Parts: sequence; C-alpha cells; structure tokens
Amino acid sequence: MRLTLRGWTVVVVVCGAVALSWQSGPRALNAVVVPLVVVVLAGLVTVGRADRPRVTRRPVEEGFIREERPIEVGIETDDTTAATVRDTVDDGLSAATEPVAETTLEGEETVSYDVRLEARGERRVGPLSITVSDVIGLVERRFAYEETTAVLVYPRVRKVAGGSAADVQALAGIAERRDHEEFDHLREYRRGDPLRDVHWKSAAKRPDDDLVVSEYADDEEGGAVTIAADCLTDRDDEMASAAATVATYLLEQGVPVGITVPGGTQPPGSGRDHYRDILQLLAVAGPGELGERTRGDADVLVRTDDGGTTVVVDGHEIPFDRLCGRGGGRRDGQRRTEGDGRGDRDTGGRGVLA
Amino acid sequence: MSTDSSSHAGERTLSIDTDEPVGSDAVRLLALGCILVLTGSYVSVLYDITRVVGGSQSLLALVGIMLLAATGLARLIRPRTAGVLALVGAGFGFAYYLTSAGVELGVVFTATDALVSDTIALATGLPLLRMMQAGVWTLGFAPAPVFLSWYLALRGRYELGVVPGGIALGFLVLTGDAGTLVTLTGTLAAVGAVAFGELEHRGGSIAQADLLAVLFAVIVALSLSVTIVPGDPSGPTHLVQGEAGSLEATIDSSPQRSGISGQVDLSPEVRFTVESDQRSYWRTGVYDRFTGDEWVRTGQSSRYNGRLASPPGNYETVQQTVTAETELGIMPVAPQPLSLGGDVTRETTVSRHGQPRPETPLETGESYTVESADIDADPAALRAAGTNYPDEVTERHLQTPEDTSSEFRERTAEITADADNPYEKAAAIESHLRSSKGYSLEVTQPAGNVAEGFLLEMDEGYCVYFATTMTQMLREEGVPARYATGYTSGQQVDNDEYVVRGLDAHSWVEVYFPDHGWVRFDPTPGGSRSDVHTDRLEEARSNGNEAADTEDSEDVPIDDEDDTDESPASDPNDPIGSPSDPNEDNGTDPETDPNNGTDPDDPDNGTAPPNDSGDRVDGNTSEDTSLSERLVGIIRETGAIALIALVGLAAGARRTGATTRLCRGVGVYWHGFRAEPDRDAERAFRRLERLFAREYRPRRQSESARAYLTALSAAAESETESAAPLDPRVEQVLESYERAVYGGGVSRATADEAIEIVDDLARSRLPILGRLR
Repeated sequence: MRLTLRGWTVVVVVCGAVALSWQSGPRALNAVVVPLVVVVLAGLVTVGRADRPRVTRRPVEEGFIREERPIEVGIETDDTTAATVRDTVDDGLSAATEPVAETTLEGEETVSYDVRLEARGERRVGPLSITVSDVIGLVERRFAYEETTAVLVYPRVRKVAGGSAADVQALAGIAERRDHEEFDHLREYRRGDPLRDVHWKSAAKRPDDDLVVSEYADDEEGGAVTIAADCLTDRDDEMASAAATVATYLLEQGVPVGITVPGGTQPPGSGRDHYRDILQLLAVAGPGELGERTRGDADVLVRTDDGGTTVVVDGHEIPFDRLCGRGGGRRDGQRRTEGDGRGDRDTGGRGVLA
Repeated sequence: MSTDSSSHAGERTLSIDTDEPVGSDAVRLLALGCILVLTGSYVSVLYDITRVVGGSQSLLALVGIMLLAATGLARLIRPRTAGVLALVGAGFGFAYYLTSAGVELGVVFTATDALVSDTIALATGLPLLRMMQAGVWTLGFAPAPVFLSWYLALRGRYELGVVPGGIALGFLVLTGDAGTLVTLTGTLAAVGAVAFGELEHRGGSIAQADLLAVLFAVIVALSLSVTIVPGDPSGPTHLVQGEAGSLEATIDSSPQRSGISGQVDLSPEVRFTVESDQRSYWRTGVYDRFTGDEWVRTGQSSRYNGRLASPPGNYETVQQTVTAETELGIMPVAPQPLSLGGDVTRETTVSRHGQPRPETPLETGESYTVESADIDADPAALRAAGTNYPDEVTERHLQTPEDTSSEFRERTAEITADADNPYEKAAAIESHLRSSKGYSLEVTQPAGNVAEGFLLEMDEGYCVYFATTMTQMLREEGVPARYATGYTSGQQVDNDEYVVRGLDAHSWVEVYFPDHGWVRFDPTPGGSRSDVHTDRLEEARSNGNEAADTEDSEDVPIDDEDDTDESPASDPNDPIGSPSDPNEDNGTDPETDPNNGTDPDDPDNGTAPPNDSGDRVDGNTSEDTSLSERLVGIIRETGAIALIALVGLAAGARRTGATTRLCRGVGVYWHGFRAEPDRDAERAFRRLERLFAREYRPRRQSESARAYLTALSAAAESETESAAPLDPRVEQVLESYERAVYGGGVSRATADEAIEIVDDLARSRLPILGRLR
C-alpha cells in the first residue's frame, strides 16, 4: 500500500498548511487540513481493507500471424473498488489496445483487450497486476498475479498455386500416388473431408442437400505422405513456414500427411484436428538437423540452410520461394514473410481449416 | 483494454434495485459542478473585497468572460497553450496591478526582494483588504485560475483543474481573507471534483457517491468541531486591551482592523497616564478602509526610524510623556506625532498613517515621550482651505463600500445642502449626528453597512457608530476622511497630568484639509456619554476596584459636569481647535490631528476628570451580539451540519441496504396507499408471501403461487404439533390475486377484503402485539 502522486501532493499540502499555521497563525487552514486528513485516512482504511481480487484467465485460442485474439480476464471482488488492471504481453504479441484498464471492479467483471499475433511460437500473456485505489485515488495497493496464459502462433502458410506449374506438378504428383481402390462405405460429409472423396452420384440421389463421401479402408496407412523438415541455421521460421505450406497443400489435396521436425513428429493423418496438430508442432519447431534415416524415409524433404529453403520432392529440388511464385528473390521472399502472411494463409489454410 | 460494459451494466441494474443507475453524464455534471463551486469559493472571497473597494462588476464580468473563453477554447487549444495563455494573463494582471499601484514595471526586476517580501507578507496573513490597490489586485488575480481550471475540467482533467483553483483558494486562505465556511466549501468541492472525475474516468456509477456523501459528512462535522492545526488564532504579538466584549477590545480587535459590534462593555481600569501641557485625545489607531462592518488599515507598517512625517501647514509642538499603568499593546499619542523618545522606540512600528505601535507590549511603568504637532487651524482658515487634495489622500480616503445605497447618499446631500466647502460639510454632519442621535452602548449592530444602518434606521449608538457614519458621509461628499481610535483625554488629576481608563476608549473622525493636514472632528454627543462614564467609575470605586485608580487619581472626585457636552463641531471654535494637523500631504502618513489639546472645547476636556466622553455605557452589557443574531447564526450553522449529517446517514444506510430492508419490513405490516383493485390484490398477495417467507420458507422461482401455498399448508398439516395450520382465509387472498393477475380483474371490495385479511394475518404475527391477542 502506498500513496499515489496525488496522495503525496495532498500530504505536502497538509504539511505545508500545518507549518504555515504554526508559523503565522491558523487562519482558515483548519478547513483545508481537516478534510484532506480525513480523505487520506479514509483512503488508507478502505484500501487497507480491500481484499485481493480473484482473477481467472480465460484460455486464448491459437491462431495465425496477424490475427487478433481477445484476451479476457475475469476478476471477482467482494466490494466495489476503483482499480487499474495492467496486463503484460510477450514479445511476438502486440496489444492492439493498451493492456491497461482503469475501471471499477464490482462483483464479477471481465476485462478484455485484443492482442495481435506477431510471430510464430508459443507466446505468453501475463503476468497481471491489479492496483486497487480509493475513491479519490490517493492511496493504492498493488496485487500481482504470476499466472500466465499461453498463446500458440502458427507458422505462416503460403500459397503454392502461384509457383511455376512444373514445381506444383511435382508436389501434386505425390498426392496422385495415393490409390483409393479399397472402397469401404459411404458416410455423410463432415467438415474437412476433401471434395475429391465426395460421392456425387449418391449425393445427387439423396432428397436432402447432404453430401456423401466415400470412406476407404486403410485410409491412414496407404497413401500417406511424410514430410521431414530441418533447419541448419537459425531461420527456423522459414523452415516451419515451408513445411506448413507443403503440408497444407497436400492436405488440401486429400492426402494424409505426417511430419517430422527436429524435436517432434506427427504421424500421418488427415482432418481438421490433425491439421491443427501439425500446425501446433510447427509452431514450436526449432532449428536442428534430422537424422539421415528420417530424411531418407520422408516423401518430401524441407531443408533450410544458408542458401535458403528448398523443398525436395522425388529428387526435384525446388527452392521454396519459387514454389510460392516468388521468383527466388530472397529479399522479396523475406519481405513477404514479414509483410503479408494473411493473404497466403487465407488461400492456403482455409480449405483445410474451414 | 476495455471492460465488459454490458455485463457490467446488467449486474449493476440487478444489484442496485432501489435507484436506477445514472450514467456517466450525471457524474460528469457533478464533477463540473464541483469545479464551479471551487471557482465560486475563491471568487466569492474576491467579490467580498471588491464590494468594499469597488470593481465588483468588473470582477464578475471578467470571471464570466474567462468561463466563456475556457468553454470556447476547451476543444480548440492544447493544454500547453492554455497554460501559457493563463500565465501570460496572470502576468498582465500583475503588471496592471503594479502600474496602478504606482510601481514602475522595471521594479519587478530590480526590486525582486521587495516583491518577494510583499508576497511573503500576504502569504503569512496580510489580508487583501489591507492592500492599497486591493480592487485591481483581485482583477489581476482572478482570471488565470478561473480560465485554467474550467478549461481543464471541460477537457475531463478534473484533478489538474483542481490545481489552479486550489492554489487560488489556498492563497486567499493564507492571506486570511477566506473564512472557514468558504474554505471548507472550496476544499470539499475540490475533493468532490477529483472523486467524481475518478468515477467518470473509471466508469463508476453515481451509486458509489454514497461513500463520498458519508465522507463529506464526516469532514464537515470534524472541520467545524475539531481544530488540528497549531498556532494562536489572534497572533502572538497582539495584546488586546480589555476583555472580549468591551469597547476597547472591539475597536482594537486586531493590529490592522477595528471592529464594530453591538452592545459593548466598559472597563474602569486605568490604562496609562499622560503628562502633557495640553489636553488632547490620545490616538492609538488610524483606519482608512471601511468594509461595511469593520475598519481596515491599508498599507504596510515600517520600523520607526527616528522621525515621523510632519503636517503641511503651521503648527506648534506639544510634548507628552506617556506611562503605561498596565501591560499595553498600543501606543497612545496626541495627534499628530512628530517624534518619539524612550527605549520603546527601538521596537516600534509606524503605520502608513503615522501612527506608532509597539512591537511587543509595553510593560507596566514603562514610559515614552512624544512630540506632537498641534495644528494651527481656525475655522476661517479651514473654510478657505479649498479642495486641492493630494492624490495620495484622495486615493485612499474617499472609499465607500460598493453597496452603499443611494438613500444614504441622498440623506447626506440633504444634510450638507447648505454647506459650501468641506469644513462646513464636516461641521454640518457633526452637528447633525450630535443632535439627532442619542448615546447608548446597548445597541444591536445592524446587518450590512453600519454607517447606513446608523444614519437611516438607528436612533442611538456610541462613538464607533457616530465616527463611522460621519466618515462615510464625508466621503460620499468627496471630503477625504478617516477613522481614528484611541482614548479621550481622561481624568485630569493634576495640572498637566491625565489618568486614562478603559472607559475612556473612543473613536472619532479626522478630515483632511489641504495645507493644514488631518483635523479632528468628533460627532459623538459628549454629555450623555460622560454620564455613563461617571456612573461606571463610581461603581468601580465603590466596589473597591483598585485598578480603577492610580495613586494620584484616587482622591480626585469625579466630576461629571464638565462633560457636559462637547460642543458640536458646528461651532467653529471647537472643532477647530482641534482640527488640524496638517500633515502633509502624504496623506499617507501623517496623521496629524488636531490635538485637542487645543481645544478645550472638546467634549472631554471640558470634562475634566474622569471620563471623557468615551462611549460607554455601562458595563453591564456583556454580550456583543444580540440573542437573536446569535440564534440565527447557530441555526444556520447547525442546520448546515445537520443537513450534511442527514445526507451522510442516509447514504450510509443505503450503502448497507438498510432502507430496502426497512421498506420490506414495514411493507409486511402496512399495505400503503390504495391503488387500482388489481394492483392492490397483487400487492396483498406479495405481502402474504413475504410474511410466509419469514415464517416458513420463501417461494421458489419455479413454484406457482398456488403450488406454494398448497405445499405450505401440506407441510403445516403434516406436523400439526409444531406449526399452526394455514389460515383458511389465505385461499381467498390467493384467489383474488389469481383473478387480478391472470383473470379478468377484481372488484374494489374483493381487493379490500384481501388486504384486510393480510393485515390481520400480519398483525397476529407481530412479535409483541400478536402475543397479546
């Protein structure tokens, strides 16, 4: 508990008034001193008696760079108090609005603000502090809350379609390898199912508008594509972005995708949850080199080294920038990396995530 | 960062059901209102000053313009610009003040010491009224804080807006011009502005203001009842002669002021003795500014430097030796003093009017000598003196309070209609007052302007009233005049020795005549006054009051005869004699007055011995304000306190929810005023519900009215031993409720019947009454 600037001002005024009164007579100084003393004492008492507010942090949804996420903090108090709630955000996040709320806490209160996701990785929001003050703002007391919440920021997913036809074709070739002979049964369409699996004939026959997709046996095992990505420099963001771009493209093609990065592996799979798992893995992937064997087993190899990032498909070495239609210009690519994640992700990720 | 305002508002509506939430608009209005009150508090202090010295309209206009300007500029200029503007404005105001006070602007740089010391003098309690150019000062002082605080408040920076206002008010508190109530109001307003500003800022609701109300109630109660600042209220060095309520204490209420009050007492105790060749009034104070209910001396005093200013015309000198017979905080001299002698002169200050005063009280037995100018002024010479007054004299000695009525002016003009020159005017006024008003110490002080009240409404008064009124009348006529206090010559115990007692305290008028100086006039009728004096002294002697006599005086009989009367000024001779001392032109200092020594005619002198005509009445009256005045004062003050205490109590009750509980509690037993039958039937059931909730259990949300009662009666029947079965009439109340709410409504009679049943049930459950039945 301490005095605010305003509180100190009042104390100085009171001391000055008492000194002047003592020096040259009280005049009406009593009418200045008594109210101010009462106000300060009341402030000390009310703030001193204030209970520690209870704070609940709501989980924050993960997302892509440049997306905004609301941060919500529930605060519960027994009394009505004036308070300043101050939150902190990690590097890699930026608060769209200043994470400071000067408010009145009354019962249950939710304080919220938006953060913008700026860089890939696991980012933290917090710790939080609540400064409770009296009604006039003379005395304040700070309550600190060490608890933090994680916000996962995905790597950037770029659009493959802009690249040269040959490169895209090479990548698409992997998807083609998959065969679908072993038809198992029909089922209703679920979000995330590739359109190529839709059984149009059956769908047309159905009276309602529901689509029907064919389900194949050994879907997971058969035609899965594995991606291995490693990074020999510290540009792990670029590696993650390339791996995510390739994985996204393949998943959009309906191919189950498994991925291995230094420090983690995601077995092949498909669907929305799987896609999220992959992004989560890539979100936290760091630099490192994969073993020779892992690299040999992978269908697609992504490697970032001093020369840039290359995607190796069936022996084709495709510079990642070229794959995305950026003519190999490194600077250009970097600029885009920093400047324009949303456009790529919108076209790249939506098909799977939608 | 934002708070979730929708849930916020929702909760508030739920939790505070007794008063609807008021938006931040109301809070903002309250904050702005508080800033205005703060502004009003110091402007009202300034206004009190301008009402005395003139310039009220300019002041109010200036304040109005500043408020408008701040309103207009609030959104147009940035705070820094506004701050610079205010500083420049304050600088101009200050420069204007200095110019009109006759100070070269260059002095600001060369004589900073003097300016700093002046500022310190103000801050240590020099009232603004004592400044020579107080009116101009207020005009220079007011605009900057008014503009700045209103500008900042309109921009929502209430806590900053309080700063300029607080500084302005604080300064006026330091000068001693702001009274306790004004200061308290201003302080509360400042606190309120900050608090409401916080509420607005933090999205609090006006409902939280109840805490503030409680706080304010505590503050008001404590501020008016508890003193926590140190310091002696009357100032350490000022020794007042006589007890509170005596005439002496009134006219010498503080070093620089002379009060006016209602009834006063006289002290028969000896104050000092004078050895003098000539009889004179012994002057102790000179005052030039009249506020309507007191006299103030303007200008700063300076240390006695060996010589006082001398009158402009011819004069003879008179020597006196004054010996204190008790501790003496004053320095009586025969006007106009030229020089002083004795040890005490090393610690003597001299006012701008040339009146000395000891810095520390004189000890008993201590004495000093005075050389005074006895101005040679005969009526003929005074009549011919003309009106070529020095500027210094007219600037300071023509002041009348701004609210002086035209009636007063007209009456004065009537009285002096036949007078052609200042001397005749003075003589006419003097004789008019002496002849038309009686002498009495038992008067009630009129509200407002005392001079006006005395001239127009009162029939009797004492010296303070006479002298004040005459001074003001002369000023209305354009004749420079000032108010002098002191003692009449006292009891002559020897050829050249006078014993002066407390009951000789007196006040009179000094009028300025060019080339002569200040001449004494005494409008108080002497005869009746000396009667009163004599009685008082005789009474003291018969009571064995030893302080009433010196060794020399105790054997001297009192003769009142002489007092008889002081001749009216009208006679040329008498006043005259007295008149003038011409001190000079510097009006400022010299006060010469006529010593009366000159005139035998003065009332007193004539009177030899005992008393002069001081005013006095007997001492019995001890109260200085009348009962009714006191009552009004008490009622006003306690009323204000009580009001705030009530508000505080109410707020405290509301905070704890007591009101709601009380309403609910009473509501069970009392239906309240009848409304429509349907509403009544519904309310009757609600009361029943509350009654049963207390006795059994509250109705659940999901439970219909009928299900609730059925459940209750089932429960009551199942345990008949402990609980009485439900009254069968309950069914009737329920029915009328259902018909009122869901059905086609009920008739008046049905509703009344339901109410009656509930009343009956409630009463039978009253804790005490129910048991009696």
